[in-house]
Amino acid sequence: MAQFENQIEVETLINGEVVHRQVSSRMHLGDFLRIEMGLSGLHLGCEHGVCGACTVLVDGLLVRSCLMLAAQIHGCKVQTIEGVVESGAAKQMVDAFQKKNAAQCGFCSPAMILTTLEIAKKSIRPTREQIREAISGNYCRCTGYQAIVDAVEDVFDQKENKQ
Amino acid sequence: MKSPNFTYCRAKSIPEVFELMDYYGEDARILAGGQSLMPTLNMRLSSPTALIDINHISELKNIQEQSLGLSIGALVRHYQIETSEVVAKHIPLLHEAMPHVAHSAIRSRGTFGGSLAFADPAAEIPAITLALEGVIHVCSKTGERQIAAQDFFHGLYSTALEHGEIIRSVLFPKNTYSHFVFKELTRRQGDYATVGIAIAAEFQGTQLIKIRIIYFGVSDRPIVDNHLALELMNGRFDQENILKIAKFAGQEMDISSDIYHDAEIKRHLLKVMVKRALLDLLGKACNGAI
Repeated sequence: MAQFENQIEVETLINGEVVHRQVSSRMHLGDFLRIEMGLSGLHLGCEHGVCGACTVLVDGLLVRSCLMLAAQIHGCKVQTIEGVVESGAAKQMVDAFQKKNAAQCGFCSPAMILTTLEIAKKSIRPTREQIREAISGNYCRCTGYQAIVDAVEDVFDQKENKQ
Repeated sequence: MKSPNFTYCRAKSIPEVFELMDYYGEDARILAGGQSLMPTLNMRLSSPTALIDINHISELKNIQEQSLGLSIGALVRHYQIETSEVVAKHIPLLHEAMPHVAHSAIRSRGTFGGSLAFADPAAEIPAITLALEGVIHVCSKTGERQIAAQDFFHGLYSTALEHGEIIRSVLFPKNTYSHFVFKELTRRQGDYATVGIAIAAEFQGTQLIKIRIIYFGVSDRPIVDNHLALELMNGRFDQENILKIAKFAGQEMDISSDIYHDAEIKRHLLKVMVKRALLDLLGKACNGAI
């Protein structure tokens, strides 16, 4: 049987906005968000789920957008770095990244911020080792991760100082 | 890279899956979590005619306490198992292993049934299912059948599943194991294991009365080491004996290399891991007895 591409109707919520589109069967979510929606904050690195640069939130969970089809977001709620930054939820982490110089070339940073925001939700302060484990699904080729771990620790420092 | 062309179909029920499988034939693939399937498509390692998306079939998504044990639906995602209190209570070994299954962004999507059907020899879920003698419930348009974990894994990415069959759920039978150890050696947290070991054991006091030892990442499928289990049962379960026995772990086994490690290194690492795991088990058993 020949291989045919088909068009699928999807209705989804992207960064709070209702989106109704026809998508091609073979288009992955990362391409859909970047090309169709103009949300270029997520980056496509390896496109096979290893580098983590394309991470977005689907129904509140971290997901690799290169490993999900655009056709699969029907009925889902998608948030990209743009939406999260706009909501104000990332402010503290973004500031910490700047302060600690945790973003160098910036390719991994949007996904790294989404991932580190998940770590920052923890009530118990993780060790540096645990932070490294939690970001181990996101490649950074500049910082050696040291500065990124510093940034996450900085967010916990601020949380503790407030208490 | 980008995936080749295929037709996407969203199945809303199990009978609809069978209809679609019939229509598209053997070159169609079931799309569950997609965390292994999508990379193979994007890397053009496979080119199915159609993907049958089963993510909308709610009856595959349950974790259920049954009289015989705990049943985990094929579409239950890794993060759900990781955070499930019922799983932590009834299948502590699985609970312990879950954080080692890839990274959190993969666990958000990856499914229990998908991991079993993919049958990566270095994956955690097949090894745990084998360790705890899980029973895989599969169904096709002609009926259902149950496959014991030891008969399910046939080799590298190969299982007892036949064309037209899908996994519905896995039953973890109630058992009497009281102590568990899970260990794996990886280059990076979340990677597939270079060498992994899962142990389920039962003690009376400090006396070992039953033990099941599984290795993964060392062969074309997860394997049970009955030989080592017997040695341990026959001797005293103490440090001296463990150190002696661990030296011979995997001795008779056909160990396969992977792209990073040759078979002899794996054989060495296996002995190291067996030693660590058994000492860990000894520690747990002694603590429990005091």
